Amino acid sequence: MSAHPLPSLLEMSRALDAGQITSEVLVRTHLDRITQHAETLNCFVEVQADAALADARQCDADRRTGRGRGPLHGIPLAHKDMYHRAGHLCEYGARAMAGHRPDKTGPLMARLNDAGALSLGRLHMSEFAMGPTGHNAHLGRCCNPWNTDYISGGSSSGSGAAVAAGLAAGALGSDTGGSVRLPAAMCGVAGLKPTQGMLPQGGMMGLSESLDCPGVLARSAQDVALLFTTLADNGTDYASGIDAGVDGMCFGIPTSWYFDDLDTQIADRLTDLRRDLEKRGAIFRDVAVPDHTNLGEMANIVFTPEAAALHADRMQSHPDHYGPQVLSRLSQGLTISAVQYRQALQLRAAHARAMMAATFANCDLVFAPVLRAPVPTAAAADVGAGADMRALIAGLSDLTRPVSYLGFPALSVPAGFDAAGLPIALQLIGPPLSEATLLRAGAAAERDVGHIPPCTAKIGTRNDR
Amino acid sequence: MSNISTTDTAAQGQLPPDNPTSQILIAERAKMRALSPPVDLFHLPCSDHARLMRGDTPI
Repeated sequence: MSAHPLPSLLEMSRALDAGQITSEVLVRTHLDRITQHAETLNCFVEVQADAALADARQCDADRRTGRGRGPLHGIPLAHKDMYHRAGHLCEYGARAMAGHRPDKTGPLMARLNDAGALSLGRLHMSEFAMGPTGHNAHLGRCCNPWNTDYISGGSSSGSGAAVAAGLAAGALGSDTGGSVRLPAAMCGVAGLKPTQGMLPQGGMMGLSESLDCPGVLARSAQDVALLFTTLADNGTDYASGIDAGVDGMCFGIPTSWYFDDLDTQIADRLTDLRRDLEKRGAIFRDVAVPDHTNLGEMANIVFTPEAAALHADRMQSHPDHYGPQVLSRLSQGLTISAVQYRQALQLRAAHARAMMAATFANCDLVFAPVLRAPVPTAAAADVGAGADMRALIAGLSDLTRPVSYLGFPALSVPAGFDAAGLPIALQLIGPPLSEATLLRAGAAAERDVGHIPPCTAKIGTRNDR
Repeated sequence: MSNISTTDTAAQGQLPPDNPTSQILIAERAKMRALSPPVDLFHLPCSDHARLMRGDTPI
């Protein structure tokens, strides 16, 4: 298992249990780091320091009187600004939603509250969760803690950056086409997109009903497992047995799509990981995957009309409330016919079954990269970057969007660094409801990031709009 | 993505065949029919995917 230089959620939890630290001290420590780094990274939309401290004191009082509520009790988290908490602002990274204050707490936030988890504030996200880079026309861009000249990934941009920088122990994100796995991969943390439909979608911003998937980011697979146990609330302890290793586990190397045109640095790191896992008893074999060429576009045929249906009224009445890229992408959904939309949904089941038969009949998990190329600079991914920018941005989700269309669970874990010092990640993909296996394999595979992200401020690159 | 001219084709209940989105769907449907055994797209409900994700036996 990874030994991260920042304390893990599990280590914080054990220290709280042992009385070595209080939740109040833990929150103050995180607030200090937020003060140091959050503005540079632009990863928080709002820091709720007073409320977090008051809740921490209550947690400490509860613990003193024997009313501890489990491993998340008193742990400071922060979440993508799309999860509803009664009476709190929740603005979806969007100017159009300024002042939005839901009157009900969503089920996932309720489960975390019931487990005693604390919230430090609201995290940056791409406008309406549309965009894989962490740029936001209204909020400015979120920066990568490993080098602020580079993108954080999105749309759960603040979740990736804040967790990597040690400003929160874990965070909720959401993944409609890669929005948990991409910032996790680019920021060097673990990120789980669970099986489609496994976690409730109520009480959170909707984007694409068929593809939206709440997910979780933390600094290790172990920490993700602790959070996911509470979020799934299905009686399974996903952290139990996570250290069981990979002896006898079979990983499939896809013979097409996932390793096509892969950057050599990424290929080398994944080869290193493979050799290491083989030494520990894992079995690797080549596996066929059904033709993925059109699956990203198939996802778009589902995603864009569902998103456009939600936004149609506002798009017509207040187009100026949207960033130009988001409005353009939403408008694509207006051109998809009902017949095309239904056919793409129908084919989804057929494709998923084909992959079950062709791929998961021959391996436990698919072993793949998250990205084909190194993390790009913010300048290369910015709207003013020219003709290559559109292809670059579309390519970021080449290896994640097909998985979202298929609905399978997937986990991104750190696999090392490239020559520029930016993280490289492994993507493990499993059949439906294989989260326990994914987390066990991820805990065995993930690489120690070795040092704390420098969070270097580069004057002139922060908050580019 | 598509630039559909829907008026005529919608009136006829047909997909515009020269549209990029239509072409992708035609190709993907053909792939499913070419599997062995072929996928019966006439009897495949969209909800089959949700059942598969729940671990239920698909239709």
